[in-house]
Amino acid sequence: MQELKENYTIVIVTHNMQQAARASDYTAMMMLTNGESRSGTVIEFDETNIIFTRPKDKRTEDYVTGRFG
Amino acid sequence: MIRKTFENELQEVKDEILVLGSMVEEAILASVDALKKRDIEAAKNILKADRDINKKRFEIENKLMILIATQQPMAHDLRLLASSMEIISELERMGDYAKGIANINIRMGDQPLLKPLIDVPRMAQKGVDMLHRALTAFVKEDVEAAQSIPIEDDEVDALYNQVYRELMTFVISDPKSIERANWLLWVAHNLERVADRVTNICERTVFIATGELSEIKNSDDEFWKQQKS
Repeated sequence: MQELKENYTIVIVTHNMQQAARASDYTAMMMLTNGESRSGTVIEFDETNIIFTRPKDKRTEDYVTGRFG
Repeated sequence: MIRKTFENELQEVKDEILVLGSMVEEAILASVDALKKRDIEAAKNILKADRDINKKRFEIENKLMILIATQQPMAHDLRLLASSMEIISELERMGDYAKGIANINIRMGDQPLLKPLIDVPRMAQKGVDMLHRALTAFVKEDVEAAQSIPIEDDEVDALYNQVYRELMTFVISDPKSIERANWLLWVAHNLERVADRVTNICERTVFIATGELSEIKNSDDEFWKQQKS
């Protein structure tokens, strides 16, 4: 994957926080939102190291710290 | 471990840090009190208390390591655990300052104090008071308090400079007093450093709550500025 990313953009959809944190450069937090029929709403997108250390959105914070999901 | 249990563990870490903080506060005040009374036995008790402080610090460190390994904390939790590691190290060093003061007391033997201690106990009281409120701000993650406490370091620096000038007048009038003056200067220096380390704790509290890691106040700059004037 590290070699492939030199030439390709790889998107991994995962619930595994450790995998997301270890393998990616950027992370998008997506979730179903209440009252909307469309799934996969992007809640927050940033560099992986920011998402896992100081996310801006409380829902991202709650998810990466295991408060739900 | 489910989230609720982890929450309890995080709270326990905070509680344990408060216990360590109280041990350090007590040691600092006791070290100055023992010096004031020239009580060597009390000074020896502080050396023992320092061993207990070090032991407590290692206990908390071990607990933090286990939580990091087993919980793989993220975001706020990660900032709290990483900062707690830093804070217990700051507290342990403050305990060493109390030990340093106790050691000076012991080394002074039966020599009397060069002068009665007035500003030195004030420095200790002010530093401990700042430490106590800094730890309360840490537990509550109170950003406002954490940002305002370090400003009070100027008061401790001012007291230090007062002690410094006073001791210099003794040295100038009687060069034989240099050793005894140096002892007291070292005591005051230790207490001045306590307040500096309180600032570091406050910086970590702001980081835990906001994710912003920056210097609240460069106390050393202020300290040297006052030395020059």
